[in-house]
Amino acid sequence: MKLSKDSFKNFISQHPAWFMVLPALLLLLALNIFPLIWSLGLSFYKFTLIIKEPLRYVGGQNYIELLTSPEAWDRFIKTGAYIFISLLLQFALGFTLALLLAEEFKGRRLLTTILMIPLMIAPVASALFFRYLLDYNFGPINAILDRLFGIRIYWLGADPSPLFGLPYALISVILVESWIWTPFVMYIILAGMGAIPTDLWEQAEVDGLSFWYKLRYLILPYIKPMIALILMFRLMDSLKTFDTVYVLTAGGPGTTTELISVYIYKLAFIEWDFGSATALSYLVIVLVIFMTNVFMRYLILKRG
Amino acid sequence: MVESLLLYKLKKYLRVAVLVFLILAYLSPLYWIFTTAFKTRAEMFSNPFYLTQVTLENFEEAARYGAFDAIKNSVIITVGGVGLALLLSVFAAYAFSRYAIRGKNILMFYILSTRMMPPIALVIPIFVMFQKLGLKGTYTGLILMYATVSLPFSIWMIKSFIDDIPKDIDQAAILDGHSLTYVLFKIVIPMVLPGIVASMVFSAITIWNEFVFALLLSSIDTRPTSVLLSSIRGERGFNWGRIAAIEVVYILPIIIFVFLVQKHLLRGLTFGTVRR
Amino acid sequence: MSDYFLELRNIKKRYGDKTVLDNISLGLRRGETLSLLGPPGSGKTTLLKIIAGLERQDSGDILMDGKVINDLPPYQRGVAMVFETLALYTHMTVYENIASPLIAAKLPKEVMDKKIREIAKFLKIEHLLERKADKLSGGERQRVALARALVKDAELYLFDEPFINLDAKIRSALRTEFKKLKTTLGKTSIFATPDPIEALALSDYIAVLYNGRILQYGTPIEIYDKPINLWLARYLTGNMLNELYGRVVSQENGVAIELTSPVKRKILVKDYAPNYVDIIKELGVAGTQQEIVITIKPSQSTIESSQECSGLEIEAEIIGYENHGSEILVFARINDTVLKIYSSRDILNRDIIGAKNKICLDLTKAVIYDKRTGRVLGDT
Repeated sequence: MKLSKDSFKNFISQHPAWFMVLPALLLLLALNIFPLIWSLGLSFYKFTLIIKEPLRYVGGQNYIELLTSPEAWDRFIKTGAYIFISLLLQFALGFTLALLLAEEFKGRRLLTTILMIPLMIAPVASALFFRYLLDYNFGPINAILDRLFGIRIYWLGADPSPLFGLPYALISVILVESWIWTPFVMYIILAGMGAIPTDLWEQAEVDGLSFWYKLRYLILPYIKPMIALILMFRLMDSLKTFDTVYVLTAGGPGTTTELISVYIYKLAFIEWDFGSATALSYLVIVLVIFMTNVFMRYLILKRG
Repeated sequence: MVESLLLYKLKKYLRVAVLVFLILAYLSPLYWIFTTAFKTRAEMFSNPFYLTQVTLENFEEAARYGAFDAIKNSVIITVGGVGLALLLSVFAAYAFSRYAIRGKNILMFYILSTRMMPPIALVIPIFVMFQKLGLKGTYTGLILMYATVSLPFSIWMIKSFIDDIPKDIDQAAILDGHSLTYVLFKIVIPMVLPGIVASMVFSAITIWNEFVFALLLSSIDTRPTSVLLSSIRGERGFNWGRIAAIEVVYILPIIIFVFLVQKHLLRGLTFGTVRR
Repeated sequence: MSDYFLELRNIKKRYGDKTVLDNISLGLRRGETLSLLGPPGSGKTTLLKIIAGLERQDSGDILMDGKVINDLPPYQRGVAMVFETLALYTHMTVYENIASPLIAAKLPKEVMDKKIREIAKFLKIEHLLERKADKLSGGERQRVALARALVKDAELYLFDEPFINLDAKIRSALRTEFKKLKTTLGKTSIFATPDPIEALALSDYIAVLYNGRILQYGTPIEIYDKPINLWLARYLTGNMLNELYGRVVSQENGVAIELTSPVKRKILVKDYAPNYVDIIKELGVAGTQQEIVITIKPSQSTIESSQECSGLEIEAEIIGYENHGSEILVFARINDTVLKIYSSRDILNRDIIGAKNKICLDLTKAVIYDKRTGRVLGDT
């Protein structure tokens, strides 16, 4: 069939939608879909960029090595512990702030807005500055602890902390990440509480109901869907944690703060083992796709 | 009765006081960044809490250290990435909002999952690809990459704003005799302009703050501020005044942006899943 | 060849597995006004959009002046429409909104300006021209939408519930204006409305839509006098219909109806409604014991004071009334059935609540339905 200019124009006017989506789709195809498929291929090879060595097909060997390596399992467990404690901390703090901010008062809007700042500024910048705050010798946090209790802590060291014996360095990563993300939790819980009808609030106030009663029967039912939402977003984002660790501890001391993303980075750009790095990436991607699926299902269910 | 009212008021004030204290403590790191940036070197160690003597020497030193080149790079990459993403996402968002596209649900699922994907997983193949294509270390490469990264978010968010406009508007304009281009540029886009601006600000913040792609795909000449900041890490003896000065220049625009888009924060933070 | 200006032939439309329009066929001559009357979800809006070309039918043809226009894009159909949502461009001024179709038609600036000011004057919105469209009241927005449609030199005007969501006063004012418009402009128009009063008042023909089908088509008088089924009869009176239940029996002296509710009485058809003798006779022969519903509109019944009742006389207790301005709608109860009767205002001079009164129902104008199927009887 011969394609004339006219029939092309006709095709566009018949299917405008595809032509509007196409440019965006092409870019995503080139720099997102194709690379991801390609890297799936790479994960079945031994492949490095530094020595001129031909690609060597090894089948599932990269995957088998990773799944049987205590090192990889250690990073997964570390990441799990990190995610669990950070989410707990962020929920506790975010929920407390949201409760305190629930009722209207002068300056409430300003306070909620400035609380967004940690969330919006670069994690690299936050982490770098926490390095100063947590510095052993002249960091203000140790200065305060010294004045109050006469102690100083190696915040970025490998010493075990009282919290499950996790090293202080990991605790510091958790602190910094929680500083960044608590406002997110707070903000969404606040949005959920915004859906509570005002007359219910006022009724509870008039009836002089106890705080716990209000929490159990008024607040929780309304923020339940929000909690699921937060959980999903925070789970996925915690899995991505890289910037703060890179700046704060670079995974150290030793491997104490080597979370999964940092471990992938080390495999790829320090050991230059692209095969293992892409294989590990794919394990994480499968996990993410699985969780996104659950998330989507939940959203669809909720919307009916 | 009077007593209980008094108690009620007292409790309320107490709560606000606790809240204000908590928030001040929470935001104190920002206080340190800003004061440190203006501190003299001597005061930095002798007095960690207050600022008694204001100096600009930290900023001068930051400039000598190449901070402004990095800021310039950040601006180029952010403007380029946001611009390209805007151009592509408005059309796509309109199509997604208005037409029944086959495979729409799969596309939407894909778009959402890109938001969840760890950047480190994507950057490895891109790194190899860019090296082969000669895009590594170039502005073009970074801009393309950032446009790609912010595209799904922009499409999703702008779509959610267009969804809020009834389809009747488009149909009325078509019936008036206008072309599809006119409907898009003169009717729909002006109506969702605040939403588009908010989406762009969100994308801009994301690109401005991004680190993984910047770290691995930029060169000494094209590195943005986040990379410059992280590279200070390895040096012997941190010059905190200089770091704070760079950070102040780096985060100040963001703080201003936060106030600009506060109305749409929720939609932006939750990828458009919560609207208000 | 018919003399129809617009003709629809077997229009069908489905969304997914839901049939929205099923075999719609209609014809409309130049200068006529047609109402599409039906409850929400009956397919009115979809039908209008298909006529405008904004949506496409799955099958069937649309003809204008005898030519099939299925493939004609909306702007070439010479159609103007007022949307149910009004669809004003809220980021523009009223002036710019009204100018929109004229800009598309590439009219010279002066001509455009003249036309806009004319129509604005006609609809009394001159003072709003410079105002932003999102800063208007409900009635004002309605007028602007009307102006934007009317300023266009169209052959066919479509109105999708143009008076909905307005309070009664503005509604009747706009309705009057619309009638004026119709007589002065003499344009062909189609009107979608869920309001029977509006449809009866404004149109030359009414097509009643129900679940995507045309239930009945006719002039307002035909439809009002003989609704095709019980549902429509109730809908047209806003559920203010008086219904008597009974069955047909034969007697030596002619066909009779044995009423069972609200009163038990046997009536001889030829005495009460001679015009129904034929219908009933036909029925009586074919199906004695046939269960029927006799419907009488509130306006076809009276509360007796002194004059003779030539219809069916029932004694009922008055339990309340609504003041409708020139008329009073009286509610009277008998054996758990509430009868509704329009009466003159004089009745308020007496203390009527709780009083027993004789109600006279005029059976000559009654419409009779088959109780089982709900279909009208004696439909030819």
